[in-house]
Amino acid sequence: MNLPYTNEWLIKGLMEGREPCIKFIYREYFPMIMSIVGCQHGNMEDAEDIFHDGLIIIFNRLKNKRFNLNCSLKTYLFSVCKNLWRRRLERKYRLLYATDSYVYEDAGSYQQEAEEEEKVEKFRLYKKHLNEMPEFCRVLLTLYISKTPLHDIARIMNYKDAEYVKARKYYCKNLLRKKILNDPECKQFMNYE
Amino acid sequence: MDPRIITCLVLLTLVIPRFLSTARAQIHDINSLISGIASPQRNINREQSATEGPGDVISLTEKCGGVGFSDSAVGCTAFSSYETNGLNSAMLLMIQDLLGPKEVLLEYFPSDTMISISATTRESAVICTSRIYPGLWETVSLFLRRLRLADFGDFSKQSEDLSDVLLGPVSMVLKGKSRVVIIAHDALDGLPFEALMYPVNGSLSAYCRPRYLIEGREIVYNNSVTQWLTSRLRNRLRNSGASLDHQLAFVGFSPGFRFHECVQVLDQADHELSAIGKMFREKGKFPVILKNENSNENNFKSIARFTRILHLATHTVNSEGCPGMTGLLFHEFGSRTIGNTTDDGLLALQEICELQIPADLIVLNACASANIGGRIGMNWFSFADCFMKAGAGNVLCTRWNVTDRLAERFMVEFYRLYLSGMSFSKALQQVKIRMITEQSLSLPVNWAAYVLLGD
Amino acid sequence: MSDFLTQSHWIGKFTDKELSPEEESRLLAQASHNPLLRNELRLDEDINELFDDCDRIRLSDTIRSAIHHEKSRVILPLYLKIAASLIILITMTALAGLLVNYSRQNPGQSLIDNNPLLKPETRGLFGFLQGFRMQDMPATPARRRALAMNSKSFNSYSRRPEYEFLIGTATRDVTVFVITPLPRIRCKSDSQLQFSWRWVSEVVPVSLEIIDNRGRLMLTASQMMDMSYVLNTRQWPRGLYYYKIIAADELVTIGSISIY
Repeated sequence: MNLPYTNEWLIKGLMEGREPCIKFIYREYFPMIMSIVGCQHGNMEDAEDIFHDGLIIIFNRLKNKRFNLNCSLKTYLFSVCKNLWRRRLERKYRLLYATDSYVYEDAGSYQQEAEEEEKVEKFRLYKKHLNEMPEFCRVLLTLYISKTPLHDIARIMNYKDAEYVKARKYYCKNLLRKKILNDPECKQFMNYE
Repeated sequence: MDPRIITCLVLLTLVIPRFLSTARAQIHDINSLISGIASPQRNINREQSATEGPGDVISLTEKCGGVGFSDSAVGCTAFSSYETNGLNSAMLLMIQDLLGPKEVLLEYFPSDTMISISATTRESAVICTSRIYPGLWETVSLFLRRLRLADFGDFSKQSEDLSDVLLGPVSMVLKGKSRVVIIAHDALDGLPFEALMYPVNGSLSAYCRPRYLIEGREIVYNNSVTQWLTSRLRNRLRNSGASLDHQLAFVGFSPGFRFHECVQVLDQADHELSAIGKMFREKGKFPVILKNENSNENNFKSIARFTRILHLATHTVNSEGCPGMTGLLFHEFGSRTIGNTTDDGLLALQEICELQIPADLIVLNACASANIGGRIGMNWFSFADCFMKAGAGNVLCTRWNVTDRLAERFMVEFYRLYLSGMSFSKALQQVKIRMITEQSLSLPVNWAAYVLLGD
Repeated sequence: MSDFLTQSHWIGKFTDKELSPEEESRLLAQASHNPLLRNELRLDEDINELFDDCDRIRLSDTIRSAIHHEKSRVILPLYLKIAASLIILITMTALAGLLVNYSRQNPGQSLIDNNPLLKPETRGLFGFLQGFRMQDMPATPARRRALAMNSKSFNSYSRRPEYEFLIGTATRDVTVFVITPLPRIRCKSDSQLQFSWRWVSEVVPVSLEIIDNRGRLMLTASQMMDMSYVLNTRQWPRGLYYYKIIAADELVTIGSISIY
């Protein structure tokens, strides 16, 4: 049975990364997102990605204190995910512009949100590739990202010393870069040469 | 709403009313039983009991001058106020005053067509009737025979039928009572009520295990209300310390009969008295044990009146054709001419009646000491009756033949429980219960043989 | 810098700002001519920037695991929920019905009417169905004896403790004095056993009963006025038997005969 969470409770849970809150949000709001994506040439995986990115965006805004909720979390998430999916489609050239296109009054904010959403999408893709790496790289990079000292990483992973850990880190990051650069999905939003 | 919640709600709405209706039905039944009381209607004639002595023909019904009962096959009548019916209630009041709070006195009067049962407690007096169905007396005979002859089985068919007739009408009175005084006349005299099936706590749940009556209640027998009254008053007087005649705690007689030609040796009787004597000594009391040649009639007559508990582990002899040959045997039996009443080794009925034995308890650990007897004058007396007349407060005797080994086991256990602080009736009940639970002794021929007469 | 490993070291150190100013300027000069290197440098910075926030990474993992958990959760369709509810309802109703019948008490009326005191009956569900007669509870002595008899170890030579206790001991009565046989006899299947006695006080009819160890009556000789009786065991199956000598409806003695 789903317990009724309030907006405030959900936002707090999202900030703290509590799994029950996220499960609740998924159970209650994901069907709505699925309907948006599914109606516009998307599949289940796309919907899950959009859902993921939407929550990360809300998290970033909460963290940067740019969050100004004038409606329910459901509505907010709906609008964020809708825009996300629209931009993704724009990038993938799948969508012909619909009549209910979203128009921002403030062009500056539009640009800011677009950058933000792009960042989130990048983050998701990089994370996806990180999870597909060999295990020792994944563990090492995860420990490095969580700011574990190098000598501790050496002890945990049974390496020689910190220098060796650093060398392995460079190697793993190089691998990660190669994977990302070879991913056509990543190339879509990278303004690389 | 979740269907499972709906299910639970439906279940509760179905079950709760059922419980309430069951409770209401119980209350209604009890109320209907209590309210189903008829006023006195008419008198009945009752046959005089052959077991009562001269001057003892006094029973509750005769004293009260009449009995009223309803016309139904089984009905109960309550006599809340005898005065309004012009009846003498003095006897009833005296009985009720002497009864304990958990005691009930049941008196059975079988007639041609029905059995009248009077049930008296401290609070009430009820007379019920139970119709005699065809074959009831055959059932009684068969039941008795099967018990006596050690048949296998618990004779449930006979026991159920008899319990239905004899205990069913008074079940409400028996509820909550732990001690029953039974006075059974005529054909019901000698019936072992303790071997009838009856639930322990009165519960008639479908899963209640039927048990023997003795397992839930102490049972004491008497031949008449007068006998019980006499015994009760005598015991109360003794307990108040008025009488100082008793000097000895225990006197036991065991003739043994080791060298007698025509009398079976009682191997266990000596051991029985030795064990009992040891128990008394351990309690700081000084028993007197008389075995073999010391266990003679002369010594018995000399010492019997100076003891609180008198114990006889011996043979009985019964000769209906020759009344002089009915009695309790002592060591010298057979060595002198029978008829020399002073010292012939045979304690006859007449001799017992002439003695003065104001003992608290007399144990006749011999065969059928409650049933063997003879006529004195116009009336028939058993050994137990004679000892009661001689002044005994209680007599523990047997309804039928008991084996030497059983007699020893039973009495040693009885005294062990008595010396631990129980009353005579309680100790007797507990011994029987222990025997019922022990497989080798569970046949009623063993434990139902012993009965306590008196208080 | 053509070495792969060396290049990755340089990029990593550049991103971690561990290069000296000279090395950094040399690397940047090279990157200005090498678009691939420029891409790598930019990507490395992106990666560092995006992975700088541990909370975000943790949240991302939590979202993914939540999605995975919810997707793998089995949600019963409505018809299965209803079926489960019905099963629960029936089971609990049956238990409740048994509980109601168990606690049902009606002393006096039951004794008078239906005699369920001694032969208790159980009623069916809410009294709709007819009840069945309950068997004796195992705790009665007779039931224990019956159970002992029905056990697998009970055979034709099994002893009955109830009778074994009574064998070999005299009764405290002198009406009849039993001379033969001894309390316990062993004999072949084709034997003759003599039962003899003597009257002490008066002559009363004597009866003899012989039962097997299951309580079945094998022979009865009633109301004998002779002083002896001879039993021929020719047709008797092998096993353990008990004999009772009865005088005037009183048990005089019990003994056992073992036929082999």
